[in-house]
Amino acid sequence: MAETRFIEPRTECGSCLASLDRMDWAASSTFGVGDWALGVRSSDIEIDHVLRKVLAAHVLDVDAPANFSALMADNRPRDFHFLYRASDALVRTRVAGRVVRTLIAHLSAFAIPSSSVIQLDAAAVVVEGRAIVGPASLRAELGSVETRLNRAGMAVVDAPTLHLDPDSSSVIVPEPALTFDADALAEYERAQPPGRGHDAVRPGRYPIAAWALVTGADLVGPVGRAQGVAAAAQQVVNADALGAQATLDAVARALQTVPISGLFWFDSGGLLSQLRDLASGA
Amino acid sequence: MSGDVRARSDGRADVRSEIAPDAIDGSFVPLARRGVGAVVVDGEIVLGLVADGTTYLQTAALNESASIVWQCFDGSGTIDEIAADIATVFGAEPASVQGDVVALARAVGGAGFLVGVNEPVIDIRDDIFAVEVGHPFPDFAAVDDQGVPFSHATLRGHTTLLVSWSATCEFCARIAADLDELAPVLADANIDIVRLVTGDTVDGFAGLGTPVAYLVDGHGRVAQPAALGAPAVVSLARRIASKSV
Repeated sequence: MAETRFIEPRTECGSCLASLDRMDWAASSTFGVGDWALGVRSSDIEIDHVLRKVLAAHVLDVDAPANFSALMADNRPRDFHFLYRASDALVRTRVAGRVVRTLIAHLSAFAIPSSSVIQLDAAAVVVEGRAIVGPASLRAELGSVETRLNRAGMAVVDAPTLHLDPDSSSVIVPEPALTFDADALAEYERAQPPGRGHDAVRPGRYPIAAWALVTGADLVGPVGRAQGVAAAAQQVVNADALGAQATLDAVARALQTVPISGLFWFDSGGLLSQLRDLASGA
Repeated sequence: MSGDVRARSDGRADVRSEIAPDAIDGSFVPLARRGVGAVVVDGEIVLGLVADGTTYLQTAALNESASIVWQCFDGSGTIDEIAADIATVFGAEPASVQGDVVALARAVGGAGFLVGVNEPVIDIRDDIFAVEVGHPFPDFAAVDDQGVPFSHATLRGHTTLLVSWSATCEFCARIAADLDELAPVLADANIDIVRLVTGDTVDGFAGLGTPVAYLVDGHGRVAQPAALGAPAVVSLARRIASKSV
């Protein structure tokens, strides 16, 4: 293995990260992925043990900055489990196993990427087997309205990057690129009390139902296809490996017939209703 | 003026001869940088270029007119010559066309798509501090969480708890209910709570993250130390509400 590298947690919200830093953390572990050593701190011992067991092949005996934080429900006042990357909430759920699965998905993003796959930094919801894709900045907002999204038949994708298949105009929720102990994870999930939340969207191919951009209040609704392609192409993570022309061609092909729409909301109800409209093709 | 622009082997111009986008005029010879990709989507061109030192594309979508002009940016003529040709072909007013071509060259040049044009330098300050008590809160124009424009002038005559807010900040979401609960109590004391959703673009909030709050008096001066972070914002609001500040 090459020299171990560390990443300092980066955030656009320093005060948010400081608030997390001030909390009591019961344990922390470091996991090696590719050349990276990534720190995960946990609010209770049990989840730290589970992570070390599930990701046993990746445990490193070095200290690393807290790149991820597993903040588990304590029943009062915290009902939900959270996983943060720096200060960004990656998942907010009552299903404890989702914290582990989401962590595995995000750690997988540090594995050496394949240049032949078009990787998107994107958030998505799946409704009736089809995906509504949006910018990664939507992820935290989707998490905060997830219960209502679930009631509307929409499930939030937890994976940090999606793969784009331009020929079938689909996104692919990738399988984890890490080896992990699936039996240990299943055992942990079975031992948890039944949660009221939804499970994560499973890896697989999902045709794109709509592509959403976050726009201004006066631009809500259908967006010109060129504008949509320009915005979506910026979400390709590995454009340097693919090349500018190949990236643009692929994104344009993928979005050839996909509805592209601008979203803007002042409150979560506004976001929810716009996503519902997209899901119903309105 | 175009100056002496010499393309290097990598398609980028010699930095010493690059000009600022605003310096582009009719004598400039526009030429796309090597590595710029272009795709036609519904008659409009989308440009893309992997930004230096990144793995991402920076892109620009051109409308139909701009797409026609872009195809003339091949290094074979000046902006004046391109504009004259276009004006002749489309029977348009030459001066107006020249202005449009200059504007396009400045826009795409500033976005990094043209040889010989510097991208604007981003001003990153080394040290960012909160505004101190007693100092005027800097001039600003922003939008509150109801979409209502809100500026420094609006602060005059009212004591305001000014909160830098983000729709995607989990910590903001967690204190929203607390602030909603305190709002009527503060209103009774003639204090407004204003959540600026574009607060991070406002001097005084920039670089401090969200949420951050200032109590600003009716003269536009900061009346309490800045509250940084969700717990501090709620604490400040509660102290004001209990009149213990």
